[in-house]
Amino acid sequence: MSAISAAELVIARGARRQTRVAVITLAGVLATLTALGARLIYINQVLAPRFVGLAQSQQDAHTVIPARRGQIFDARGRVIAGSEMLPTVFVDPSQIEHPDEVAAALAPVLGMDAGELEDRIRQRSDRSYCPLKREVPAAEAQVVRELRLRGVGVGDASCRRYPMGRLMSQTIGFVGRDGDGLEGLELAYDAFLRGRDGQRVTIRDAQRRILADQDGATAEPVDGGHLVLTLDAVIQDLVEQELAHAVSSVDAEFGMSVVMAPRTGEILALATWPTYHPTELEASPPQYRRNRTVTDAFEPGSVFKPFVMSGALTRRVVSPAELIDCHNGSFFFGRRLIHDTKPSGALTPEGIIARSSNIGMGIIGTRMGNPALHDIITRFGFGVPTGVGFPGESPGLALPLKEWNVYSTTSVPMGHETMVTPLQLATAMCALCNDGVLLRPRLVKALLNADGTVKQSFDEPRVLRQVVPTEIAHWIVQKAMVAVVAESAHTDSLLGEYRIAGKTGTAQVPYPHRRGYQPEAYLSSFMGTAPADHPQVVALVMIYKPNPRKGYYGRVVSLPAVRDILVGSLGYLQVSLDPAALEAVARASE
Amino acid sequence: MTIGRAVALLLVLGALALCVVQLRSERVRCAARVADLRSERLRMRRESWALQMEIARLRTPDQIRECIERYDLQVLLPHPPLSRARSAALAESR
Repeated sequence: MSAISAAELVIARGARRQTRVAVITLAGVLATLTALGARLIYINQVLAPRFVGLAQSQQDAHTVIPARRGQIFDARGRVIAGSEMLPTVFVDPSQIEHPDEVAAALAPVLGMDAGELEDRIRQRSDRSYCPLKREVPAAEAQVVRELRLRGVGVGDASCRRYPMGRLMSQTIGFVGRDGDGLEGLELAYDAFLRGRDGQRVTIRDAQRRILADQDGATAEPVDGGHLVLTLDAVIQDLVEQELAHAVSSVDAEFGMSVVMAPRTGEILALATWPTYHPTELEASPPQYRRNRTVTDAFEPGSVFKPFVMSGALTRRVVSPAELIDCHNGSFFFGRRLIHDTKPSGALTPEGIIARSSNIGMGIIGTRMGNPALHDIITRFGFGVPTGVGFPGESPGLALPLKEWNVYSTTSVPMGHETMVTPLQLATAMCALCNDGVLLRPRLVKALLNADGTVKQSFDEPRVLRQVVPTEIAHWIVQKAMVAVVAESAHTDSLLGEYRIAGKTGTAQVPYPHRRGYQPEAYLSSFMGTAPADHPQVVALVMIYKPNPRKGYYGRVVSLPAVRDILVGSLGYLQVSLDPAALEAVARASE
Repeated sequence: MTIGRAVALLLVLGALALCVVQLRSERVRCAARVADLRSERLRMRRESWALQMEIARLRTPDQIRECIERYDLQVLLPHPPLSRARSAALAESR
């Protein structure tokens, strides 16, 4: 009995031990599982965002898809400004352990100095993006890709291109390295042209090869809209050539020219010489970038006389047939002595304009009085910006009437005491050529969406007001201004294929910060139109500070350029030849 | 359940698993193809911009003048060319 009991006891003890071991093991397993579960929860709940971020930073690659900045076209669809996508080699300095080795590998490929590259990488070690070379040729970019250097990448960047080079550069302006419009129309229409960059997020393997696009993370770029200008590249080219020749032939400081279509107010060419190349800014001084035809104002001189004369005829203070005594070239208005370059006796209003008589205009100004003079120059749009939409447009200067004095009465009709921009002058001339109706000048013809559809069209001329009656505008252009050219033709044989009308001007240049005029400093101008009987094109050329020993009169310096611009433009625009002018040419050649 | 039914069930489950694997691999392959096409589209976009710029360069008045001179083309210019003396003066000023 006791033996059995002992055996049972042993078995029972063994069973208890086994149970204890099992319980301990189970408890251990449970504890381990609990710990693992807790760790799992900790990793999933607490550490997950960090690990997900780490994984994404290793697997995901963000690429900017550059939006295309809109193109700028001339009136006939030629591209003046466009964009190209070119490779940029960049580094992520934070990923580069040995900048000296990376620099040594890249330097021969990029044609750069290894030391300079290394310095650049080290200096920007706190950044994740450092461009090393922009606008890299495709072959160079491919070699860099094949090097497979850690922390070195090749990306695309949108680069602005100006295929016309210097042509229209002051009007078009340019963009900065980051693609922002900085000057000219690039600045004025920056928001419309720029577009919005897209983004592509891709999942890559350990070799950085693209596996797939990240769903929902890719944003398409929105390309910028396009701008269609009224400028015509062929006419602009002609104008710039003529202007360059006019400036260089008399060693002038600079020259300006505006060509417009008087019936529509469209600006066909807008030029300032010397000019610059928009992608080589360092090669030219900053003043070459100014579009002086819009931003700078000048005392116009005698080119101003037809506007005052039209006002006098409108107010009937003078009649076309009346003879006015011009006192043989010198006359006192009060205590002020005024001279004429070409002394004359009695002249009709046509003769006063043709011979550019200061005395005749002084008499007419006295008859009109200051309020009427002020009224006519403001009605022609002088003293306020034209509203052409170009940044930094100057309003010119037409003093308020209360600031006018007794001298103003004779000064203003001669084109003094008033400052005008070349664009204002050409716009006013267009009013005379457009039956006396002033139009707002237009530089932009249309805004296009990125896909080429029209977003907004500005084709309709914008009428501002009837400045002078139609018959008076006709008389000024077809009689007085034709007489100006005929008068100048005695010395320059100006008759060409078209009958040209216009007005010369040779203004002295005032000191910038004190009273009086600079010695031997002139602004030589000519504004003209053709065909005189039905004007299709208006051209203005102003040459600033020509060398007086080489010529400074408007009829000598600027008139030939305007004549060639008019003849060239009309031929290009296929305006039919003027029979009256052809007869005159035939008579002259007989 | 008979052995036959059990085997059939296993086969169906196996086939389903293979289908799922195949579908997933197809999805990955399609995604990769889409990514390739996107890259290709970007490349074409880049090339199209470059070509448009090249055409624009060829249409500039300077280029047309150069072509007329180089190939001695009998083309009527839109405006009369400058005389030799004036062209020389212009070139000097430029």
